[in-house]
Amino acid sequence: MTASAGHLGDLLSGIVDGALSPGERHGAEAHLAGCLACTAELEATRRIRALVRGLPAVEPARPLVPTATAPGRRWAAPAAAAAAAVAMALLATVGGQAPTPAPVGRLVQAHATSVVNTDPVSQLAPAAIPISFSSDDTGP
Amino acid sequence: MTETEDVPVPDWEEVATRYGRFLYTVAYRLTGNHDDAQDLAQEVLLRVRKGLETYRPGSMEGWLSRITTNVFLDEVRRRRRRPIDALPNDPDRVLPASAAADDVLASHSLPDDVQAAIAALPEDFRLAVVLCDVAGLPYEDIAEASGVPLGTVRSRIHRGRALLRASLEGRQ
Repeated sequence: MTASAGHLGDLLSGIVDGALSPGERHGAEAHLAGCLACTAELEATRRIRALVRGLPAVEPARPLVPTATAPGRRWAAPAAAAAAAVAMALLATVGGQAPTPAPVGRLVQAHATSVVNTDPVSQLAPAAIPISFSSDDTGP
Repeated sequence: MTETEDVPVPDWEEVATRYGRFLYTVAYRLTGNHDDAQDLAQEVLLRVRKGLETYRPGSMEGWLSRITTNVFLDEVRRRRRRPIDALPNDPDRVLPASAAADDVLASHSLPDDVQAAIAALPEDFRLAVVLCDVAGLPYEDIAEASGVPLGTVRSRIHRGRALLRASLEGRQ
């Protein structure tokens, strides 16, 4: 108990965190029943606790890898090497995936062209088809 | 499998994959910026990889938080040896709150404001608040991680929260 102050003090955080012994809690609740100041501070403590607990998770700016420390400019060289490795990996990944839409787009375009060319009967298709396919093609 | 008898130290890659976000979030809230958070989180993984920290079966978050605390406190001590880097440590800045200010606080505090207020806390209070409210550790684990008695943990958490409140109210 923070008897010198006459109020609950850090026991209030103990209450909101559920970290008091039964005896402490009983005494604190008895005090709260007759103390407006501590009741207000308890509510304020709850609010600030909720505010911090409500902070969003933070994603690493770069992939986490174990690196050695060095005094002064710590991690600089290994971090740069790791970043380069990551960049290479990303390039490889992107390089592997990027071609996929292009051939599809070309096939679609070729198909559209062939459809248009082999369907001279329809007067509407040539106007409609390039619009829908061109939006697919320029998407990626 | 005798997991309770002989638990292997977790592989750092698995830790990074499964707990990377947790680790980084704690590191970011402790350091207040991405560069230092990255350094801190990576040093934790390095200690995991080298087996420098005793692993005991239980909460992985608790274990990682303990390592993170060790790394953080090592860095704090290092900076304290160089006075130019030392941060102000003035726990007597606690101000009483008013109900009206609390209403404003609850409705208008943005995450960046809260983060800035956390970053401005003295390290000991910041560590206690982050371990409690970001890592979600019980007081007992915080006491063990930071090497201080339970009563000190409770005091630091409460005074840290009071400082946050005063700081956030001052921004309104």
